[in-house]
Amino acid sequence: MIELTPDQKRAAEAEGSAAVTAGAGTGKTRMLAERYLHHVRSHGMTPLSIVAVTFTEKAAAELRSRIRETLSSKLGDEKTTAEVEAAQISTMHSLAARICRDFYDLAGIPADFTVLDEINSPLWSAEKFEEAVSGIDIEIAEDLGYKWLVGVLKVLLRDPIASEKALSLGAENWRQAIDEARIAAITDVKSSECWTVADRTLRDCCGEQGDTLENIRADVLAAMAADHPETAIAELNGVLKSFKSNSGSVKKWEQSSLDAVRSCLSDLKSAVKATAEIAGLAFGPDDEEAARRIPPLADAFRYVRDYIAAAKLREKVLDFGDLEHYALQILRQPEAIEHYSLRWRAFLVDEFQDTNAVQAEILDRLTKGASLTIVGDEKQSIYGFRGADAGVFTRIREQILNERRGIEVPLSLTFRAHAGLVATMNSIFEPVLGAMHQSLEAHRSESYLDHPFVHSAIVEPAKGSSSRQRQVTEARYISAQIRKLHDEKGVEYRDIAILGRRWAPLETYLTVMSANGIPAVNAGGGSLLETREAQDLYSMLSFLADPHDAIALVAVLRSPFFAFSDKELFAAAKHLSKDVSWWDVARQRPELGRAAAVLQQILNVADHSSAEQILRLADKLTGYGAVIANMPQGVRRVADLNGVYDLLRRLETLGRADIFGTKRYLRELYETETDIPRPPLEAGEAVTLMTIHRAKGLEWPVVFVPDLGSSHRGDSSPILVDRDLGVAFQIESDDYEKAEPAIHKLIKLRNKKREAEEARRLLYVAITRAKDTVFLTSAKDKGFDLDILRPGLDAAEIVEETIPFDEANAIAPSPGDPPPFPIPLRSNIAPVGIGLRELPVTALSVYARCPKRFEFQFVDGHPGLSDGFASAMLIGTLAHLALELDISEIDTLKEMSPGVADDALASALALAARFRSEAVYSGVRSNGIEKERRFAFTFGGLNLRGTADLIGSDFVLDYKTDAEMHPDEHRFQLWAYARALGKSTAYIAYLRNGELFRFDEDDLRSFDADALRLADGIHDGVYDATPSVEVCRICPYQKICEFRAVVEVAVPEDTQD
Amino acid sequence: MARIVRTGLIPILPEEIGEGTLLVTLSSSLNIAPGTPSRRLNSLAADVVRGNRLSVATAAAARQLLKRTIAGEFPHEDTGALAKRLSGVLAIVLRTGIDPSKLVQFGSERVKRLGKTVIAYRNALRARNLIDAAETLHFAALSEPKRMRMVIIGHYRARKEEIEFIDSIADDGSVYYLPCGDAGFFAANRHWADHLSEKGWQIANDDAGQASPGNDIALRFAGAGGLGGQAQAFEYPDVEAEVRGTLAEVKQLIVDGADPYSIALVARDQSIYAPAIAAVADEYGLPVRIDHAVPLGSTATGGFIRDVIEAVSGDLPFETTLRLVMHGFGPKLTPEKLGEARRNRISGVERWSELLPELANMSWPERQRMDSWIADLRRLLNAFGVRQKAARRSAQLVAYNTFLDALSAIDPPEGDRDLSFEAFAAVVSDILSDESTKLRPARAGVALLEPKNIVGAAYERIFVLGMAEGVYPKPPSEDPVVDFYERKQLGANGVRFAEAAEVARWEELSFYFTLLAARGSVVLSYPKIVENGESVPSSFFQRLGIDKVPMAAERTAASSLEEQRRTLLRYANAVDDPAMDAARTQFAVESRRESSLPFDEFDGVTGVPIDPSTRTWSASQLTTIGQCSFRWYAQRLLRLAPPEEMQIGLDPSTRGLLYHKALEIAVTKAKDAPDIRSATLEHLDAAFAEAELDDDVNLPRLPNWEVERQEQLRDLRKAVAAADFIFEGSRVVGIEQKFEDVWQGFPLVGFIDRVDNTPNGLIAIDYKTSGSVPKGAKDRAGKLSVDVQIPLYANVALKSLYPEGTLGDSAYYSLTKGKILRSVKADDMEKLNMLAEDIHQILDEGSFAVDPDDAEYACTYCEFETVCRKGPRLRRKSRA
Ligand code: SF4
Repeated sequence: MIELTPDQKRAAEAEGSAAVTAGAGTGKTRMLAERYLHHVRSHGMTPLSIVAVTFTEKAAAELRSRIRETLSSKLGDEKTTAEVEAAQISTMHSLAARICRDFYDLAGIPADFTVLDEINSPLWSAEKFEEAVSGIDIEIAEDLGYKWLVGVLKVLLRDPIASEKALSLGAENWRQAIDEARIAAITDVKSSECWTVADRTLRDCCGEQGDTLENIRADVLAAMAADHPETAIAELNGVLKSFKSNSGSVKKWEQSSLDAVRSCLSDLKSAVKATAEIAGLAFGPDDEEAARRIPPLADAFRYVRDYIAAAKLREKVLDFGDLEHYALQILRQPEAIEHYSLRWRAFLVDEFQDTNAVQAEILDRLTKGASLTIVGDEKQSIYGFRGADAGVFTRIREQILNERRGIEVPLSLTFRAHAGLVATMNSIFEPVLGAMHQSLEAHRSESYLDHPFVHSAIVEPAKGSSSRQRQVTEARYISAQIRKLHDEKGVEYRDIAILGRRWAPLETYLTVMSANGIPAVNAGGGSLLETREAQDLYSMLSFLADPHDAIALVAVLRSPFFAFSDKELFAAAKHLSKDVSWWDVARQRPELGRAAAVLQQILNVADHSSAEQILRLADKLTGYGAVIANMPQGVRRVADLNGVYDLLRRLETLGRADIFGTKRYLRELYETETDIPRPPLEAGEAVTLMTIHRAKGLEWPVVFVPDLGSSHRGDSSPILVDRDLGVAFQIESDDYEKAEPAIHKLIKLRNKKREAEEARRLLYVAITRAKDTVFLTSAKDKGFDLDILRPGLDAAEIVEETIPFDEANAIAPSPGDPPPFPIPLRSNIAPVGIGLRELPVTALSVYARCPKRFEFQFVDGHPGLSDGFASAMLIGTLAHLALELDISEIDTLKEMSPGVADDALASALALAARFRSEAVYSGVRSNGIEKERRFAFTFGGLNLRGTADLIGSDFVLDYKTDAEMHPDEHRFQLWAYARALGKSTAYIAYLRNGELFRFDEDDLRSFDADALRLADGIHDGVYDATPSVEVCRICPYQKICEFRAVVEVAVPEDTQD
Repeated sequence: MARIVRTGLIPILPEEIGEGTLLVTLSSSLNIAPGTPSRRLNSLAADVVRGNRLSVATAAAARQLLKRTIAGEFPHEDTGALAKRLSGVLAIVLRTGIDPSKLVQFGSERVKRLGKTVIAYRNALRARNLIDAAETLHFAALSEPKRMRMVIIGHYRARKEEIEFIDSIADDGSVYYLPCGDAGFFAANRHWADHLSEKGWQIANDDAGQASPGNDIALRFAGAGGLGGQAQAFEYPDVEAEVRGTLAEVKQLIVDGADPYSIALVARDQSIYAPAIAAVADEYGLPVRIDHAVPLGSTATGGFIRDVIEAVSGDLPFETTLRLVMHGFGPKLTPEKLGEARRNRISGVERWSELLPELANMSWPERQRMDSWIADLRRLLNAFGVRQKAARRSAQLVAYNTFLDALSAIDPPEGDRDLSFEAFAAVVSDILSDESTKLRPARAGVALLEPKNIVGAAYERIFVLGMAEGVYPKPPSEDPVVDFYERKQLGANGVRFAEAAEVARWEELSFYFTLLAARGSVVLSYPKIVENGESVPSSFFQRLGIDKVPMAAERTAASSLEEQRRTLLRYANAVDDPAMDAARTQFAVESRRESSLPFDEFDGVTGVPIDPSTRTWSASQLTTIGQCSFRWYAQRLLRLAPPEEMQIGLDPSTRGLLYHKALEIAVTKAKDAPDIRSATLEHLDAAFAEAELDDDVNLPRLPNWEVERQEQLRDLRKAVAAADFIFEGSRVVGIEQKFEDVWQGFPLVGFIDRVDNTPNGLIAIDYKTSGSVPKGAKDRAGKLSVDVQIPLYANVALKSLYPEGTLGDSAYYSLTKGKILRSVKADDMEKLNMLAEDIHQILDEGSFAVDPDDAEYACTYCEFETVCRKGPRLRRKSRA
């Protein structure tokens, strides 16, 4: 094992708290494990007193594994190492869940709640929202508008805690915030470098009078000097608008002045433009109106939120957000803090930059008085959209340094990229990240690939080309590069990743690569329910839930379930009429007969099968899955198909397995646009395509970051939630104008800025996934990400390659079939019959009666439909007990069988008494030497077990309490008793009838061959029915058995009533 | 003769058990010494208990009693919830014989509560001559049972109560197998072996002797050498692949003659693996025995019962009741009645039972005695015939019986007090979460076991699935009542709960015994993706010296019809598979759809020409076909329409109808007034009310209609009040004016919402409920820029209706924006004529391609996305 780097060592062995900034690939997991060891070894802690918090389950598993390894190799104390298993090493959610479980009473939540994970939570909520909304106060709904309200509430409920905070801010400080923002923006621009430069340059240089640029220069200077700043900025913005990069005539200027003036004006123009947007904001009547709406909106929000929260408590479920919320509530109480401070003395928190405000407060409260180590990288904070707050990292770091007297350690030696690539990355990100930038050093000096290590390529901006066409061109370039890497440089496909900000364009890259024979896999972006496969299954379920759903039926008929042509369908449609539905037509028209037969077959079992079973049956009957698996991206499609099955299983655990309920549920998910992620997929020997967010924590030798030219849509939501300013929205006023209050604009601008910042970090994450080489590509020569990166690319002197545009090649090609599956060497498709081995002896009698009944009872474990026998059986059991233990007093028997009715006890005792007193039994009674002998018996490959009621020196006896006597059926059982125990005679004592039936040695011998035949049948799983009125009449399975003989006497149903 | 503890790492089991010696095994299915009767420790102990004239409480009775105890001790708590919270640790206390009074004496607040509960609960049990199942062994050990000579196999994990019981019952000559090694995870075993030795047992540390290959792997895990035998290890992409790979292998073995009962599947987390294995095993036709149980609430039966309760508590609301009725166990509605229920959004017992008389059984009182509640529920379930329906699948009937049994076991502490429905509902919901039922009751087939259930067994081949970090070994979870920290504190006071390390070691120990159960081979596998997240291989691999787990090789056998089809689909092989031919065709069709080849007969091209003159055309039809010809085809030729479904709010098209109708009525009344606008406003309320009842509008019942109605009416008033509604000096000359004409070969029929005679001439006004100009048909560049309606109304309809009149600027009027959206333009007709040409071509060729505009705006409100199969594939199609 390599030594720790000095920085890692400093962090790991810090005496107090520590804040560690860990650049990409700098070995923080290793450092954390060593820190853990240090706590144990040098601070005398046990694993149970150390808490480690990670961002994902996988990270927790990895960390635990690393800690275990470190402790077991360096500590040499087995017990302590074993305690690591029980240590709190988990995600924040699990930690919060534990706190909620420990102190459910302090939070007022049910003690036995279950946790809804990220997928089950939206499944659960979809059902409740509708209910909740219908209870909103009518006046509020009227006042705010019902439709508008529903839309807004959906947004607010995504993060109820943040929304509550924002709503409770009200609108009081809007006016002030707007004023401050305005002043701040103006102050900022005036103190900015471009302003100073412009001020100086414009004073120093001038052109000839009358020149446009000279006029602009003078106007700009005047506007810059004006003293009413707000109007001046607007004016200045107006003047600057007339400035173009080619303003001014060369003849009227000195060249150097011209350049300087143009350049500073261009900088100033964009700075002033941004400022003017804010400087133009003023609190106005629209804000008044918006402010007026906040209180009723808050009321409605709270009503719905509380309704849903109450439903959660009632149904005892909590989602991740709730866990954090309640955990925090708990930790606000000293009792809880005291509890945990006894237990936990050190905390290690990974990925701290992704912590949200609630989590930060939870940690803050828990770690008072304990040692705290946070590890994070502000540059990799990319979860702002989920509420992560990178500012938290800075705050806690300050706290560690100042209040906890801890230390700060940057880890900057990366083990991922090689020196050449690291140098380039440093140059790129210095200007891109600004103050946040941290230079990395490389542990590895050599590279497996040649210089340059960062490529940049942009599609030629050909006139008239559409963005779709340019995207295909970009895709062809990427595909060609990958082919080259693979064929010429020997790079494996699995060592290459394409990471996109958005999912959509990746689809095009996939198609093109697949057409070029490059194996590539969507590792799991996008929404499961939107996939073709999910929609096909949904159509199938919809049809089964309601065969008259014509759209569903025709969708199924056209889909790969059947693939009827439109020619056929069109012809069939002629037979439709008001009274003849599509389903009728399908059943009547021979051309559609194939489908109708299959669908009918499925419908026949639909009522008693789960949705998953039904869909698997549909696959079996049609070959749907086979088609899907052979299509381009077959692996992905199959994974999606399995993802749907998995989703159905989840619904099943929520108690929704039937077709109709499942279909309704899915419909709700579609309608509420619930995002169920597609299951992740292992790329195997293929190029990986995934979103940057998912790529966090992963690495590849070669990374492509494409689509840099796309424009960023930003948050155009009409409702915005801001943690400092509250909730803002656009309003539709009486005169139909959609008005945008200044506060909405302000928040929008702030969000835009925040998103731009996050975009920088996202690019950082993407590019730093690479170990050897990075390719940056773009379909346009300008774009949101490209513009951000440009200064960095310039600084790193990266040559920009142009990808030529060729219209002929700008349509996406056919994806091309994936390589076929290898032909299976063996075909094991026939079902295997597996018989039984372990049986009670009584099973022999059942098999003798009817093997089918045996199958129901012993193989399927089917309880049957006749509990008319239940009370009879109970009496039998009690009579056996009374005989075994020599009980004759009702009270004694009652003591041993609490809850049994007196008449049953009495009947049982009466039966026992008959055996004890009646003359027929006197012989066996006096010769009996042992009761209740358990035995096991192996024969014909079966292991039989049983209990003999009474044994004599040469006989065995079985009590029966049945009303009717069937010695013929019971003979195999008795045969087995005798053979197992080596007795020559077997008796049945029919207690109800006062009879004793005897099988002697000859009788028994005559059963040998039959018994062996039975055993063979049971062993091999042969269960052919042998129906007859006699047998079926008393069979508890007659109602459900398709082979039953016609029986009239019904077995009593549910006699427990 | 002495009593012997055999502590060898690999128990050398006796060939034969001597006469008069009892064989005691951990479970009946250990595959050990078949033909010798064996007993379970627990059942021996139960005999002892019975001899003491006590009996072991059934699970349901015990739970009831515990709840009752808790209700008495902590009257303000949710008894069901608290019972669940306490039951785990309470069982530990009872099982191990911890003195509850010590808990009260030394414990924290929460542990004191536990102690009190245990005392009260035990008293309650004894008062009824019962003991809890958990305390059987401990109790029996204290009752000086009659000693027997025995051989005890499979109790390889030393547990205090078992050791004590064994010590108390085993007679001279008994042998107890308790493997002990040097590895840390044997610590507890070593401790108890020492304990027994103090009690006079002899320790026999037998040599391992001839280890089987599987044993050899176990030894390696225990750090005790191993002769080089190694487990096979495989990595699979995900759980599905892992299960398929494993079951395929198992099936292969059985086909090749292996005894199915000599093979075991082992998975630590059954909730992940049991359903996955069940599904694949069904597909493979490979019987598997699965012991995994699930809560009643997550079975079809449980879901149905929950729906019943939910429906009753909401007085039969539409959605829940519909779900209930249409459930496989429900009474079902005919298609007609289903339509009726949907249309009228039926709710309430009365209206529902008009539709379905069975539902009259759902009218329940507010309060009644518990037994009456139970009777009501049973009556309802009987009326639905749930029992017979459930009987179609054994698992469902088992679940249903379990539910009924639990219901019968209810023994309300309140005696015969009346209870509210909510209280009853809570009882039912407790049953649904407390009781569990087997996922599969089937008893034949290859066993799927949890590691703890394979201890002491013997199998030829063992497959351990799910060997991922966090899954196996599974981190022990803290008990919320007595956590590991407190266990240490209590330990100092002589109260001994298993501590963290001991609990953790059990995972290792169980893995050791899992390996030990293998006589022949061991296959270990893990999925790279589990539960939608990436996983890390289990540390157990490394402990066996397997540093890198190789990817499982490509499968070489098809194990089901489905798999065979999947692999052979693209070969011409003849196979015995009725669906193969069809599947091959389906594949060819779908492949072509996904390719860049032009649209064909499977993509809307019927090839049958349609003569436009034989149909009538409206502006909206022309727009539709001009937006996406497939959509028109689906609507008009395939005559597809969605089934009626309820909406949370008013859907746009009904809203349009409602607005139009209301305006039609109001304007008709107002058109001759001097001020048409204010007269319309005057009539509007009444007109709106009339429109609501209109058959054509067919307004559905909406959950929040009262609220929404006000809003709609207000919007409409606003629209009428707006300046653009009617121009100064105009007269209304036509309302809903019908026109018919043939244009470009299309017989047109339409209704103009309003014709006004304005100072600038006659104009057609078309009301729109949307706020933006309606998207037109596609132009040849693929943009929806061709407006159809207004140009047609203005240039064709008005001309034919008023041949003499001068024409003004016809326009759309937005009822939601209160203004004119778009008026006719000069180049409208030119574009329209090109469109007509395009449509003629489409109809002539019968070629209804899936060809929406580039931005796919046409698809936004289209209902046929599942039919047309649009998607990224359209980017590969060049426009015809
Ligand atoms: S979804 Fe789009 S492409 Fe499909 S039929 Fe409708 S409009 Fe056409």
